[in-house]
Amino acid sequence: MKKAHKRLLKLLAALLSIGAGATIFFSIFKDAMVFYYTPKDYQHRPIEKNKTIRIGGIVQQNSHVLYPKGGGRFIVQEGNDTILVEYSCSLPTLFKEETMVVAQGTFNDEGQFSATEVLAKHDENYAPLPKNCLEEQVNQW
Amino acid sequence: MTLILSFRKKNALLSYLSTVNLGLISLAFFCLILAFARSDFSVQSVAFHSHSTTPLIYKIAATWGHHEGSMLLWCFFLGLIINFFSTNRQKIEPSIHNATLFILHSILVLFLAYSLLTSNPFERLMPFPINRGELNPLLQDPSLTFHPLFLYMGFLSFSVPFALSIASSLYPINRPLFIQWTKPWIAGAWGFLTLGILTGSIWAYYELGWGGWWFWDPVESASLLPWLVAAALIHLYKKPSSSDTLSRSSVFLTSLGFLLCLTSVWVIRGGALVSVHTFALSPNRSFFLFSIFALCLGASILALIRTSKDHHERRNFFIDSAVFIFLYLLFIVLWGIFFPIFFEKITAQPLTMGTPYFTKLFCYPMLLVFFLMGVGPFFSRIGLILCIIISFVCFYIFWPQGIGATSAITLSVWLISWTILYSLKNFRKKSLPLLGAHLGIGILALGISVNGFFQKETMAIMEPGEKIELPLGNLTFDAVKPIPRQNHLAYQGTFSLKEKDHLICVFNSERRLYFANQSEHSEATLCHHRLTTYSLILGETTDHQHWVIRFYENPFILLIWIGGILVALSALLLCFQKRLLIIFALGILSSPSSEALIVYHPKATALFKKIPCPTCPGQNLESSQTELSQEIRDFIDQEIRQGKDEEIILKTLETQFHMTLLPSFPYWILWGAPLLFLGGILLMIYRRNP
Repeated sequence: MKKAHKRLLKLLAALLSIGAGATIFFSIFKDAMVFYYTPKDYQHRPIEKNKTIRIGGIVQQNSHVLYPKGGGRFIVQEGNDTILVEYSCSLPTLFKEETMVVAQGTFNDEGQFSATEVLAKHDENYAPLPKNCLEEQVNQW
Repeated sequence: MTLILSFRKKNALLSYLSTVNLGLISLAFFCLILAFARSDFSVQSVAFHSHSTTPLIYKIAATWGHHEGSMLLWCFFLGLIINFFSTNRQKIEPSIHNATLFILHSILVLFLAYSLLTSNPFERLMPFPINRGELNPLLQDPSLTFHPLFLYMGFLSFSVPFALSIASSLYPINRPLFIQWTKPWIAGAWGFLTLGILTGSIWAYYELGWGGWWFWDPVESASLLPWLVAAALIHLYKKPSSSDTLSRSSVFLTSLGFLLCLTSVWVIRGGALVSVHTFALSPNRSFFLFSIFALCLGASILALIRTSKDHHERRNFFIDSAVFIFLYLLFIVLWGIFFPIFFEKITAQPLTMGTPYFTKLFCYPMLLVFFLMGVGPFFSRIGLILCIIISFVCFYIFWPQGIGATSAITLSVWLISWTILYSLKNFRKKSLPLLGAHLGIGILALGISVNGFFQKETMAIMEPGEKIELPLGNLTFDAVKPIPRQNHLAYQGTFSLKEKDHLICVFNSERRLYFANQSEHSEATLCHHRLTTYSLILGETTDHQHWVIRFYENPFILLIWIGGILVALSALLLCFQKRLLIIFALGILSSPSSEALIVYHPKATALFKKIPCPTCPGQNLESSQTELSQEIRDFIDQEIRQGKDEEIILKTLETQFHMTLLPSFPYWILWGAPLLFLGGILLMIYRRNP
């Protein structure tokens, strides 16, 4: 009887700790999932507001504007679909118009995407990915 | 050239043939280096990755700066390791030795076949273009020259323990012997991986200009996997055991190490990852790499089944928890890398794991590790009291900065003080690697936590003559001037950072426009002042008058590099023991000598060595090939011949060329130190040869 009690307690403790660990793990895990969207997805798939996501596509030509007080905006394009991205962070040195970019940030309540991190996609030679090899790359991501 | 490679495939078990193998692979490898050094553009990889104007050192670095060449380097290193293993056969029983060699040779043949069939570095181009491509300017950097060398050396050092663990399932090996044979390899792998990861992050930090050095990108985290396994193994080997039979756990971990190396090569090179870095690869290459991985996996599973189960071993709380924690961290990183892949395959919705996942599940548990690392190996009562006092002081000082920063800093100081106290009290030569590695981790942790919490970034748009106020002083944009160079046009902006009229730093940052592919690139300038590193990046411009500038304050980032180097050195000490001294001596001797075509006044040449090159990190004025350096060299020579004093010349340099003449860093260390390790290994092979 006593032995059985002990065993039961041990089992309970183990279950509780595993449960607690798993709960913590998955709650963190769920928050940290960053989904990736392309401008085309944006038209068809609902995107939750105020949740961190990534947006990828080609920077439209002549769309990059610098704000005098720092930051700026550019348009991410895929086919005919576009998203306006505003950023307040720094740009990578590989950032260039007409090349592939990945911006991490959130859509605010007005539907404006503000990026906290802008990354340039590059190939194995650390050159920015040019436009012609992009069409497949955008979706492959 | 292909002939040499294919001839090599006639593989035999006998170990003298491994020397022949090595000879042939190195012949192929040095032929490739030669092709690069002589800019033989009829070879495709040379034509695409090198340029006749590239400096010689980067021409050679370009040999392994692309996929085909790096796979040949991989085979060369594997051949080197096999040869090293086969020459010291006295210690190992012949049957096991032969089985191990057989396994290693099979792996080598697989990789050679891969290199030959899917990525032949000697592919010819007819007719050949002249100066078609160039090694990306971003990659022309000392730290990235050595990054692949170290990383591959680290990955491949795992191959011997892997082969041994498989051989152990065929012929029984007892535990102490297994540890004795595999430990140097594991320690070596750990050390080289540390160096490889370190050089990679140093490069990312100051060359990519992303303002950070670690981004939890899958490509980066993948290199962390074998590192964690090596760390777990080193701790597992420390554990006292009651029985002499080899336990399943060590066999499991040793084979896991090599499998993870293959995984990271396959995953990174195979393009399965969602990453900003795309290392594009054709499907058959990916498939080939996966087959090699699958073969090794199958072999190790069979080996595991044949090994006996773990016996009831004695428990040691600290070692057990160390191993457990390393495995936990391994799981976290592995899950962070592979979950997105599975998820995308199932739901067709791409995603990545954000940084919070890693900070919360990887970095915070590390704090617990630091606590245990302090108490575990170094416990003493007086130490406990002293360390508690030190930690409390630390806690008190940093409390206003928030709980995260406080606990991170306090715990790293806690670890450092434990290690130092212990080494002051009872220092033994034998425990030097242990002390060094733990101290290194402590310093690393201190650097990471201070830098992580107190890093500052300022972004502004400035025009020449403008001044902005920063918390620590003010930053003035003095001037900007275009400098045409051999292959690019550089806009050099000169900035000065002043703290209450006291000049701290002068920055000469550049924005370069490369003619060849019209790409732009920012070259950051770094400046160290009281353990803080300031870096300034000249960014985009619309009218060449208003410039975007980014200014970073990175406190304690130097500690990250120092800590990392300390860890790597301790691991290598564990691996090479006394022989490390020989390697050191070799490295000091191997400091590069440069030849100047123009004969300068001897006093002038002495001065060149003291002045760092203003535009190229890692070189001094003497070895630098840029036009600006040439200009300065001529200027100094002229002044010296006129009989002017050194100090006066230095002052005119500061005003005329806007140069920061901080005490010069001995740059030969930068070049010599990595050479030393590689040269040392070669030396050791010949020393061991009977």
